[in-house]
Amino acid sequence: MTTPEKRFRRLIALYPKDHRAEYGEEMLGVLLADGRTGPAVTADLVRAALGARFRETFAGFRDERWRHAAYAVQFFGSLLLLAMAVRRFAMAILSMVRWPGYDISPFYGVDMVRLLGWAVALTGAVLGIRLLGVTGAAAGLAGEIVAPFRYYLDTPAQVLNAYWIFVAATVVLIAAAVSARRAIPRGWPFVVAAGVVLIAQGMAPLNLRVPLFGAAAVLTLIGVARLDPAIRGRVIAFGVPVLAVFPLIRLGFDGFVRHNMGHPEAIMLISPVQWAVLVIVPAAAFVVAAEIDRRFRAPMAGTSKGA
Amino acid sequence: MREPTFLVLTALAGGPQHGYAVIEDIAGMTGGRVRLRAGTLYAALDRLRTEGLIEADREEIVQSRLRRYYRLTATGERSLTAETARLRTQATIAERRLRIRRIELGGATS
Repeated sequence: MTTPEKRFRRLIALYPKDHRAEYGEEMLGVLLADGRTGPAVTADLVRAALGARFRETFAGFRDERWRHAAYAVQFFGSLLLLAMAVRRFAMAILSMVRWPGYDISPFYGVDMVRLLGWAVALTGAVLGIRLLGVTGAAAGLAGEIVAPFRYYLDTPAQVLNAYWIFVAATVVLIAAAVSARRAIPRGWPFVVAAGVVLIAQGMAPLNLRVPLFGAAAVLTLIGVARLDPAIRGRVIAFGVPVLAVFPLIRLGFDGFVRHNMGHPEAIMLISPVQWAVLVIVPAAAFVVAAEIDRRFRAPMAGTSKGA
Repeated sequence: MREPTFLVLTALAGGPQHGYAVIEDIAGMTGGRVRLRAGTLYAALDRLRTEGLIEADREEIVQSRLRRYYRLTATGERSLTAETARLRTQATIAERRLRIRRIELGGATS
């Protein structure tokens, strides 16, 4: 094997497997016949290989089952985010009853927007009205973002603590925009029960809060497990960006939070690079989860279970 | 339609050709201005096959290497015809405006 051939083979190896199988040998013949070498040829092959990989990754999302999975995500996600919004209100009302002097004015306005937003988003999902689902989710997301940002300059950690809700709300908004409605997803009673437990958890005695949160998580998992196997893996892929936020904040922002706790006189705000990480990590987690799901299903494609 | 796509379709309008022959044909057609590289060529060929504008004609083995010929489909022919008409219209407009401009500039200087 000649030196240019070795080099071209290494570059062709950057292409996706299917592309290599279809065109690999043919491209090698053209490259050797053409005789051109050098950085321009290398750059051309690298760019084309990346383009082919990008197209391959996103071609999978045209599958109708992604849209069906998005509907389950929209339905379950709107329901759970509505439960979280109701929980906050229930906690505020309980505080008002227990301590009549307690000022609940912060719960008017933006908190009402996210409560109503998620209620509208869920209604849109149930009725299968896309515009309603998207509008509600957009209002819910706006409310979820604005609420902690009111305190950003004093306690940036509040934004980090709420970041998983930003991501969850964004995922639900995207799902609402691309979903194709089918029957109400199987497993919905468990997710409704999870929502009720979440609301109760906010008002429960402190020693019950962790077990109740765990119960809500288990009920949600049962609801997801009962979904149609054809969409279950994709629904999990939608959930992975939200799960990725927890280790990201714990591991990546621990020093940031500690600094601000120890130096209230010199509060650090989240830098542009940190914002980029907060956006890129959940997006990358979704792409990786979708790719793992695709590879997991690929060997089953030839079997009756692969449909 | 991007220029490499137009040129690949134009090359195949002359008859079935393999990859390297397409590169040479395009270089000849454009007086050497455009000499496609393999990455760009196969990205275009793959996309055009997916869109049904071209298809594989036949394969042969030359010096132990696969050589595949591609040909224009009826859809590809329609697409190239439409693009050619569009380019001709644009060129005609440009030509007319340049002619008027030359006349006006000629009048202004005289």
